[in-house]
Amino acid sequence: MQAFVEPLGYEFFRHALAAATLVGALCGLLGVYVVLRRMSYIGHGLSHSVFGGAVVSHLIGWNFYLGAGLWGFLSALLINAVTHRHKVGADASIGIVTTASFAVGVALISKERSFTRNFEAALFGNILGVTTGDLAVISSVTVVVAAAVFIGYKQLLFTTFDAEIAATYGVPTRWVEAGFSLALAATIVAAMNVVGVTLIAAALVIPPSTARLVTDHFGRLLSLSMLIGAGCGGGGMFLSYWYDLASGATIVLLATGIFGIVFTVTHLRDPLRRSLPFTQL
Amino acid sequence: MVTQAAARPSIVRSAPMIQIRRLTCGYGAVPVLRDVSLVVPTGQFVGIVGPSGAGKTTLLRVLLGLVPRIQGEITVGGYRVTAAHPPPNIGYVPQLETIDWTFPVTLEDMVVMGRTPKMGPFPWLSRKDRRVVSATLERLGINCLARRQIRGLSGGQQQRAFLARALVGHPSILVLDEPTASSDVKTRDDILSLLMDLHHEGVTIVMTTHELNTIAAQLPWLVCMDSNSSVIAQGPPCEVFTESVLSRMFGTRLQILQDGAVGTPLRPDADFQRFLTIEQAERIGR
Repeated sequence: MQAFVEPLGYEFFRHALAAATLVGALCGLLGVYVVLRRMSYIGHGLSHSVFGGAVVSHLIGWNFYLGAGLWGFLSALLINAVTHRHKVGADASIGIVTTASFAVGVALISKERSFTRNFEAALFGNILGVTTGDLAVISSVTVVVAAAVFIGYKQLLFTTFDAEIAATYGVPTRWVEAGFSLALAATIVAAMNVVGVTLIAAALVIPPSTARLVTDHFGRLLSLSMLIGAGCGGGGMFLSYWYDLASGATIVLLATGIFGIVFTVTHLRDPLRRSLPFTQL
Repeated sequence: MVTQAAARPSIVRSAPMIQIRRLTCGYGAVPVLRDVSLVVPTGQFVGIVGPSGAGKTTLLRVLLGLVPRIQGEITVGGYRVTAAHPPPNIGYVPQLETIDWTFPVTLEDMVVMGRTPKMGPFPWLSRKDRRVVSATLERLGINCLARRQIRGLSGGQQQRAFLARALVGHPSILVLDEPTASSDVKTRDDILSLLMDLHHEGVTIVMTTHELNTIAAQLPWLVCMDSNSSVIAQGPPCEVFTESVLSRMFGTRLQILQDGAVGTPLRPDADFQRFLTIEQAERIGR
């Protein structure tokens, strides 16, 4: 018990714990839609894209969250636009847009070497440096995104299931996709400080993939994915404190470990799932 | 097999529900349909037939605003259809393979999607929505499967689920892309019977089919397309199913089996094939 209470005595740990739990739940929520749309790579790509935006906003003196968020949102819209050209697939669109955006950040850093150290935090996370202001931003993003998913639940579900058909039934799919891109960009910006650019994709993909192994019910998938994400965020923080490990990496490794256990157990127990290729799950 | 519904008089009104004027459309620079014109009166039940690659599905997708228009005009229910403005109050049944059947939703979840624009802002169903969904599932005979995951449904059940999703919003136009493909005889007849009922209730229906003998021959009106994506004939089956039209449509000679007693094409309720290629006819000694 003392092992749990001791770190809570530190303000930085309390902030970090709250941030990791909220970001875990948030990524778990949006990750369900990302995984079901077969766009797992978008988390990885957008986080790199946002990094470019963070560098640019630093250079022109903009607020980090505003600049990086806007850059991420525009990148997501651009990916959607390129994907809709049919001849370029979603994976290629993500690769083109986001790596170009990341390259902008890298090029600018190489030009202005003075602030390289600041961006190491963005790349690998700096959860122990989460301030009250950061926590307020993360909380706000979590509440707004969760409310938006609640209100747009039916439209988002139909668009995720089949965007083309949803449009013929009167669902404003372009607005739904734009809203989702905005929510995803905001989530990635909020998560940057917690897990870092390089590990955000894991926070988005592993919780819903784990939850998908144990349920076929969409509502339960959302709840379970959020729960796994939040649990891994909080649990990972304690593990990183006890074993003195990098917190972002510990969170991702814990989530991966849970995924491995659930995968093994369900694989052995359920012959039907065993017959399905993993990519279908 | 002819359903009782087919024997009732239909209520086709003269006002057109669908008007396609000199439409050329396609994906990219190459047109799929060239200079196609078509008028479907309100309440009509139209079957689109033709060989694979004739552009039947494209013609359906045009009605939904899903195919970029190069020139010409499409109006559905008085609305000019564009990609940004699909026609309102339309139910669409796509081909089964267009969706991911491993998606984690139940049959009821999928059917409810068809009612999305008519529902309130909350994720849950209102009492009225629940009543409508339940009545639709009951009509399709799949109420007992409501809680089943869609990947656990058979092909026939998936077809019915798609139909239920299209009907749950009470559409005035129903657009179906091969709704009986790979169905067994019972499912095929049930679906056709239901469509005939809807036709008699005044719903305008446009569907594609490859099944000339069992489906197309029973429909009130047919549009025949050839491999050049041109409309080569339209009218009731007894008028368009001639050896000349069928041969042009499929690019091979076809023979229509005649009733030995009266010399007319075999009745639509015949249990066996009425249209044969010359090779088939020779094989069975006709």
